[in-house]
Amino acid sequence: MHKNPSEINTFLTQQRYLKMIEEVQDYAIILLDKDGIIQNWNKGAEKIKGYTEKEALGQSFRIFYRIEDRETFLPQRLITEAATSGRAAHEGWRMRKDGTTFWGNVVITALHDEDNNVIGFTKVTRDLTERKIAEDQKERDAKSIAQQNRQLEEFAYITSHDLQEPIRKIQTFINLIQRDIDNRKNLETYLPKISASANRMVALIKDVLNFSRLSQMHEQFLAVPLDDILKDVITDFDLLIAETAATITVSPLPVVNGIPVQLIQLFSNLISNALKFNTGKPVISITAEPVTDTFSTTLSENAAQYYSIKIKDNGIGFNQEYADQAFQPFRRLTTAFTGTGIGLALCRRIADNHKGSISVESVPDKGTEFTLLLPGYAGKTII
Amino acid sequence: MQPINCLLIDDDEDDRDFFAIVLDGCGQPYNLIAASSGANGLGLLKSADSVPDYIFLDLNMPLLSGKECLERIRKMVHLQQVPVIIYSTSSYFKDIEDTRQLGATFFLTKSADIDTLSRILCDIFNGEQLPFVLS
Repeated sequence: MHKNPSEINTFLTQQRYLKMIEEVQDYAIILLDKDGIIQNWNKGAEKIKGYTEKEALGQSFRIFYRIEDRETFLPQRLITEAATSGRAAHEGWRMRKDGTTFWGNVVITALHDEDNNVIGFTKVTRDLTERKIAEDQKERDAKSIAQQNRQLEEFAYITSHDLQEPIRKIQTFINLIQRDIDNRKNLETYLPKISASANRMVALIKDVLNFSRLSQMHEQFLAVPLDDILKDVITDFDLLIAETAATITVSPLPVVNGIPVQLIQLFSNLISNALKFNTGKPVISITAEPVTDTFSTTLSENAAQYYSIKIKDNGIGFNQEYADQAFQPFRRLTTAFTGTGIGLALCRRIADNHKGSISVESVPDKGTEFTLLLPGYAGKTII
Repeated sequence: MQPINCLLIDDDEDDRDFFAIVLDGCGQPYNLIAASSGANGLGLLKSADSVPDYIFLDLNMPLLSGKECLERIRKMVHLQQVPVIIYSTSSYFKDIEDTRQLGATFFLTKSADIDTLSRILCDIFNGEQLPFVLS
């Protein structure tokens, strides 16, 4: 049954229209005056933003913005854009009354009087937090797949080269022995080499396994006092420290949010390197300080306090232009010392697993300084 | 017969020894200079009056990799015509493609079969028509 609109009292229509807006629950629809003061409130606004009509009326719409967005004048910029171009749209984090945030899709539209002066604004906000979370998850999944592909690529390379090399050598030595099987001197030369190649193969396979296990582990993050970790690691190296007459100084270290076995491996590799790549008496220092710049917040959305931990030695060092290579699996910076070239690749992966990072600065014959960024323990676990 | 001048750039001591045995198997007179790193190899190649007849280049080396060496060799005017033979454990397709792009002459995969390697080197020295990938 249709009624001719003209039959309906205009006043009644306006009443119903206002009622409709008031009752809409999925959209916050707000009327602002030209300075951004809230004039009108609906159910959706209360549901999304958490303020009652009484609390909201007369306030500036800036209260919906996070402190950092207020500091960069985001609300003012949006309202100015709406005033000049008629409309401003924006997606971003907004703040509820209780301080929690939601991902808002906002459209601010300017209202004009008959002389085209701006008299106020309508502001329509939708809560798209769930969509945002899903999108972020998708992005993280894509990144994770890309990372796994990279790791597979690394493994393809490793099997194509590093794992074949000791076997090829063993075969070659056997060939050389067979050519002149009665030559005892040949045997004495080549048999130890065969044994060395086999040992190298075993070391490589162990390291490849260690490396691949790291990406499979779903271990619990705990509050890990790095002081304890360092104490254990240094005890393990007691003998080598005595042999090399090394000194290791450790200043007080933070409690980080981490996986103990991985952190032991991380520091063990770094200290082992610092002891190994040195032709004199190693002097190693480990220091930590909280990170104050904004860099740490780019590493983790939950903005944990990050710590910068420096491991400095006076060893042989290397040319800084090879710093990136140092962290790639099976890339070794020297053949003058034994090793499989996987230690620092493991360190990098462990740092990644902890939503941290590792970097290095080195000067040949002066020494090397590794910098770890790790999240402090904040009473909750990072997923 | 003029001896063939070869430069081998390979960080692996065993492989440098093997290569001399392979060259012996060719039965042609040769001079072999071996460099244990990319930087050493490039240092030997700097001067225009010490141009080898052939350069054999390992790929997987610390610091300066074989690919980087190849790139730098091909940029040196006096070396542009010198055959550069990649001599590597790798038979990884990406290494083969990359080195072809960078101007390698052949890609020789290191093998345990010394006699076959000697024969291939002979073919290279005799200027036989050969495919890019040799093994």
